[in-house]
Amino acid sequence: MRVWVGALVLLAINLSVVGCGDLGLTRRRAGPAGLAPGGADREQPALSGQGEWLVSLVERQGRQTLMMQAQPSGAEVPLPSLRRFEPHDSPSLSWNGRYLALVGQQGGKRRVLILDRASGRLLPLQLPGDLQPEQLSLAPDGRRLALAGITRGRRLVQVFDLANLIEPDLPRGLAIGSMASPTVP
Amino acid sequence: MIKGGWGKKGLQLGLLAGGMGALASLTSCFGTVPKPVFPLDRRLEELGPSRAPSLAGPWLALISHRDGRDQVVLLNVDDQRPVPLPGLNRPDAQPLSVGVDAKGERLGLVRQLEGRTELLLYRRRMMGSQLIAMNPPGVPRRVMLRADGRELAVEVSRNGNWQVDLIEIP
Repeated sequence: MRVWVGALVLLAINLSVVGCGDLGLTRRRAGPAGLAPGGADREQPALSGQGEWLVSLVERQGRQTLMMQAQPSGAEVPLPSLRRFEPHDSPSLSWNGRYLALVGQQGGKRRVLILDRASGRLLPLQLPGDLQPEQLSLAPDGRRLALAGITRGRRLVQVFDLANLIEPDLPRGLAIGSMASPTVP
Repeated sequence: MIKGGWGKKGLQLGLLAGGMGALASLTSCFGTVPKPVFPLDRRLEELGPSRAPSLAGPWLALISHRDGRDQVVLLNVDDQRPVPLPGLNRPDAQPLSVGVDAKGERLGLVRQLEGRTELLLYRRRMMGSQLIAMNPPGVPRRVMLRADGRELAVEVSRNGNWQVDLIEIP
């Protein structure tokens, strides 16, 4: 009897952990795609730390443009300061959506940009050497930026410290100045 | 010879001030120079060609080409050490995109295996993966895991269009 019970428990654990489909997962729509036509492509989604904001890329007037939406309403937030850096690529958000990092284009050159939505300040980053940025990931607290790119024909990932450039964007309930890793509820 | 009190020293100071001004205007033109995290960068160089980074808390997940194949690597940024991911890197699978949460506990992964592209949620503590079906059916390409680990944002190809699925995780 004990052997059978043990076997059933093990089977239940296996089913719940490995390859059992997606029982228990809820799906929700990403909200309307704003001005983008219904059948338009929507790519490279990124959520803020607790899901209040979603950014993705849509095509507008023939250019890949970043769209930022509140969740779950789908209400779009205009980002006029980024227009001159289209086409956009690889967006990434901080915990509360204060910072938006992306790869933009200026004068035919790909640039890494960080927009502080609280102040409206746009911070272009000058990358060392001949690093051509392809994809980025902003740490949720805004303290670091990981960048994938090509330099001297080699594909690599580099991490940059932003602590002296922007102030942290911490999850709700965490004291400013705390150096500890955010505690996620 | 410059008259009216401008000596050699004054000229040097003027040139220095002009040079600094030019440098300042160049910096504002081309942007701020971020500081690389040097010990970590050396570790990343050792990993070989890498792509698809995901940064959350002290954790950096990426796809690295090691030993002749692409593998998911999870590093602690503070001590530059990779952590083991038992059962995640199959030799017959090709990882395409990875995302990590701020605790380094959950990873979202899109990979190709036996001719199909699939989305997985890996839980490090349980050392196991959960296959997540696309509903309605579609082919995932890119995944991003919310920093609190509670939702996946997935780029999916469906009926010839790229769409975004948001999948909550209990």
